[in-house]
Parts: sequence; C-alpha cells; structure tokens
Amino acid sequence: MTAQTTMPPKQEAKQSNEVERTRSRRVFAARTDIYERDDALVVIAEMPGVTRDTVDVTLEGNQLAIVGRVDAQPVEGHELSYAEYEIGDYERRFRVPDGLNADEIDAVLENGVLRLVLRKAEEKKPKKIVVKEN
Amino acid sequence: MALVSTRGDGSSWPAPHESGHRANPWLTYSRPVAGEYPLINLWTSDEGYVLTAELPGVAAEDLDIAVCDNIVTLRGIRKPEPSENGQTYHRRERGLGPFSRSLELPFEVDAKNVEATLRHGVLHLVLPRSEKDKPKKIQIQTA
Repeated sequence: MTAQTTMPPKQEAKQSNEVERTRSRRVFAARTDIYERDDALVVIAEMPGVTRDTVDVTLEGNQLAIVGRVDAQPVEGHELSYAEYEIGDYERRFRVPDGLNADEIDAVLENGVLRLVLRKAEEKKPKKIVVKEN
Repeated sequence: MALVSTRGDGSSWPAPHESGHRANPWLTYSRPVAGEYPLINLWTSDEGYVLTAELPGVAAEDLDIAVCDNIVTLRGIRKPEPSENGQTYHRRERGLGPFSRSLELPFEVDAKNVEATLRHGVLHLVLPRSEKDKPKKIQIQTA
C-alpha cells in the first residue's frame, strides 16, 4: 500500500519530574497532532485502550498535561505468544501559548483518540476590522 | 508451518510455537518490518488465536477484516483531520492513509465463528481453529 507513514514503535514518555509513579507499568508518549486555528488550539492524541474514566487532562498556566491509564486484561484461557506492541499508560505534556481559556476546553475521546479544543481568550482572537463604505 | 507475512517483500515472522516465546514477563517484543500497520499481538490456545491490534482513530466502518482459509487480512484507512480555515500545524506525529496487512496462520480458521470487536481503538479478533483442523476428541461412552 502507498501513502503509509512509517512510524517508529511506541516511544517511552520522558520523565518530567522526580516524583515516582505508583504503577509499575511502562508509560508511552501518546502520538500527537497539534494545530492552531483562528479561535482555538486543537490537540489530537492517540491513546488506544484509554476510556473516558481513565483519562485526565489538566491545563495549569502554560502547561497542558494529558495522562491516560490502560487497564487491559490478558485474554482468558490464552497465552501471549507473539507480541509486536507493548501495553502501557500514556502521558504527554506540552507548553501551550498564553491566552487560552482554561474554563472552555472541549475534550472528546473517540476510538482511542483524544481531541482537545482549547479556545483562545477573547482578546487573543484576531480581530476582523469591518471596513465601511461611504 | 510458519506464520508468514504475505507482503511482497518476502519478510517473515517466526510462528508462535517456533519462536520459544512465553507469556509475560519474559516475552520479548518483536520488531516487525518497518512500516507494517497495524502492529499485532497474538494470544494462542488449543481453540485458536486471539489477535489484538491498536488502531486509534479507525472507526469500525473504516476497517475491513477478511478471513480466507488460513489467511487473515486487515485493511482500512486512517482518515486525516478535516481541514479548517486558518489551520496551521505545530506538530504532526500521527500516521494516516490506507493500510493493509495479511497474516498466514498455521491452521484453517472457522470463518463462521470469527468475532471482531473494536473498542477504544483496540481491535480484538477471535480466530477459532476450524473443527476439521482440531485434534479429535473421542467420546467415551458409559454403560
């Protein structure tokens, strides 16, 4: 097949601070697209296996944190005998621009993909000047 | 019989029973051929295999699963985000576009009893061994 992007396997998340985790599971960096549009910053993160109840999104000042837990169970009565991917939690932190409205973040999780729309505060939006004609 | 990728590049993977892999925590993770999508895990038992794959963002209607004798094919598309006005990308890490991957299993699949579920971006595909490919169990009659 063509038009297929070659992606490296999952990469482990960078440990951002000294605090140790309570889960012994590996933590992967969620693959993320980020784009800006006139009224918002859109963040799209792949977190297969994460559900609405196991995802946490926080915006503190300029730091956006996305944390997802995966509670996968082994397949009953079967033995894992061939594996190409490893199951683990997801974590990702981004420094986002100033002027995003922390109270107005849309977050939707669909098919294991988290989509965040972080709206820009009113004064940060580009103003369109209406030109009047005399 | 080996579990073989049917891609044209002649690449092949060892069959689960030949690889010497055991269940966690000593299982080693195999690197597939670069560009293969999706990555898969195989859970095995006497009844057949369960294939799992991570397919984030792929909707059920965009995934096609075909089973023919002992060949399983996963085919689908990772759709791009719809373009919006004034959209400027800061970061692009997710893959997109069509994908196709075929596996040859060491047994014939009972196609009528294949079950597939796609939940939270994870595919769970039950591939039962066909009755005629299973070892026969002899019923002992009691008086």
